Amino acid sequence: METLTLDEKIKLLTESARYDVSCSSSGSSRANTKGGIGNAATSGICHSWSADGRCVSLLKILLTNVCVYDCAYCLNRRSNDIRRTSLTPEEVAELTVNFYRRNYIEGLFLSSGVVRTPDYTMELLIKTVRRLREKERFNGYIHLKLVPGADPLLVEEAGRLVDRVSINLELPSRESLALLAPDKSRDSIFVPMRQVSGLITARRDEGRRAPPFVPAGQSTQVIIGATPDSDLKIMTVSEQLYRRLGLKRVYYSAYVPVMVDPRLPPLTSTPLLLREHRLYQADWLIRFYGFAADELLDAGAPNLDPELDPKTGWALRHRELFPVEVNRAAYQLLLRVPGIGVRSAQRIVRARKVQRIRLEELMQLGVVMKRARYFISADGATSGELDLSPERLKGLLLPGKKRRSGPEQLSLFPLETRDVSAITGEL
Amino acid sequence: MAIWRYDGTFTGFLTLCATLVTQGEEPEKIVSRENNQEDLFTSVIFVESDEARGEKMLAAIAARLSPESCRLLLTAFLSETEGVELLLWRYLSFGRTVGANCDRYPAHPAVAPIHRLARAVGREAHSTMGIVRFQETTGGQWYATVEPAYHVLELIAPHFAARCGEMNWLIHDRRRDLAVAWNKAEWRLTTFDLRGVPPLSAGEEAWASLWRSYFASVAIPERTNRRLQQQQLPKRFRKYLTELA
Repeated sequence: METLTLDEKIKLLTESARYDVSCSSSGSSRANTKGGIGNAATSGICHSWSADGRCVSLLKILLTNVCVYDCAYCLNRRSNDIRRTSLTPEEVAELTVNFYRRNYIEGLFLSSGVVRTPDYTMELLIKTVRRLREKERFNGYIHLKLVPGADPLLVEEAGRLVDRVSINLELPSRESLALLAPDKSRDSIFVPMRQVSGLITARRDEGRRAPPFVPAGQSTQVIIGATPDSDLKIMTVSEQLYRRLGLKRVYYSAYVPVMVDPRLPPLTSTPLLLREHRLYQADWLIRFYGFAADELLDAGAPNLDPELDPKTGWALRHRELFPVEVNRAAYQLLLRVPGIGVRSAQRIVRARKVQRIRLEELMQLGVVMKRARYFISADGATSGELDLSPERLKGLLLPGKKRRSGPEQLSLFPLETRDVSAITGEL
Repeated sequence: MAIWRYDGTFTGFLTLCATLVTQGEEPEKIVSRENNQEDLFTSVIFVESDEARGEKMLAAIAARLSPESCRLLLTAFLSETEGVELLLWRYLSFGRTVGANCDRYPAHPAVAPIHRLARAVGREAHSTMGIVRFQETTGGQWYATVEPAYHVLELIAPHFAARCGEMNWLIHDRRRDLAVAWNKAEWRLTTFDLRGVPPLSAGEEAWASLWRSYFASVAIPERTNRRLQQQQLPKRFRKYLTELA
């Protein structure tokens, strides 16, 4: 390895880390300790926004971009000819605390290439967070990457020190993983994921006083568009990760071609940002709106409609359920109305306990009437536009012509742009 | 009906409300500054701020409406919007008739504006917590400048007190010439009209420079989206940001 300045190292190790999209700092309420620095804000806090419009909340960096693995999609793959460098645990700890004091960041998101063995790498990562927690008495948010194949004892040790852990699934099917990441087995990813899930559940039964174990839960990431896997395949996997393993988040990352490889899309292809956006919308519907993956997608239509958001698409396929009467309908049904979100559904339920809600009051409650008007009634009153033909209604619900065409111009981008939203799922 | 005047503090406003309740008065307008033109034609009643009466009023609101109503009142008050006092008074009057159910009428004309203002101020406080940038001065003090749209210093002070309890810090609201200062024991709101930045510690620029490098490297070039960045981080937030100023 060549000798680099700290500044050069930071640049390299950040460029190598930036394709991990998670930046959430929410879900943990770790308190400060006497003489210590930092705490975690339950709602999460964004500190800046980079030129790609993504929020900057954590110092997202690799300990090293040296890697013994050769995953086709990864910039840091062994066979790629890039400059290699690493930071010491002491350097990362010092950097984190000094950025934190200046309120540049909410905490650290530390990952690493695999040096020597998974266990050796995991030990280095643990050494770094241990130094932060114990020597620097840092109580801010830490998100730590688990190394596939690391010893279960190390996984448990890591979980006791940090707020969130994640291990990336990267590809939704066994075949895709074998094709693009020949050094990682599906088991080396699922075993630690299950272990963490079990330990989180066990921790819940120990009562409030027990020491925390990944209080902000675990997350994972799937690459979109590097393999032919369908949206149905992806969302079915996500649904199981949420329902069976209790994951907090699945992140979807449109593949950015950084590598020439016959197994991958060409360098000239552009990232599938619109598809990524639709997957996030479907993900929100599964987590906060009570939808099942097979309500949104099936073998006949295995991919999400690029034209319409998945909730509106579902409503158009189920017009027999509408109009929904806002003064009577169950909360779960209100959530299914296009234009009604978690917040506005909660407000409707609260408000109707003491009064009848009138149609014209719904806007005040946060309902987007431009969409909801075709699907609701209030004490029988409607907008008078419930009997439109399917084609006409779809035309009215399509996004306005004002928006420039092409997925690159998409302005709505649900990637953790506001961490507050993690609570209700509101964008 | 008359114009009622108070000293511009929240305690002063609560004292005024207590007076209105006791005397059974309905104000035409509530103001915090003297305005000679109006004063010529209408009678202006000034109410002296009274800590004890203010506290009592707040306790009464917490009991008869709800603690959440108290929070909403203070947060909306901090918007410093023209005429906010009368809106708050109407919310209070409505609350006195419906009690704890007050916030279940979010569409009611007495309630909706308060919810809207409190939300806006809360959002501003939350954003400000993220964009504060402390700089270490030669004296070992940590100094930050902000220009929030609303008066949010009191709302963000507890956050930084809990988080950075071992630092002597000061956050300067340059729009209002106010500052909130923490001395490792308590925070205080003071008037403060420093222009420019105090002399910085020797290492400060080096850390700032590393942060700028990090910030530039973390963006994915293939996903550049300045419009989205602009939307999330409007110009008014950028003025004192180490990475964008």
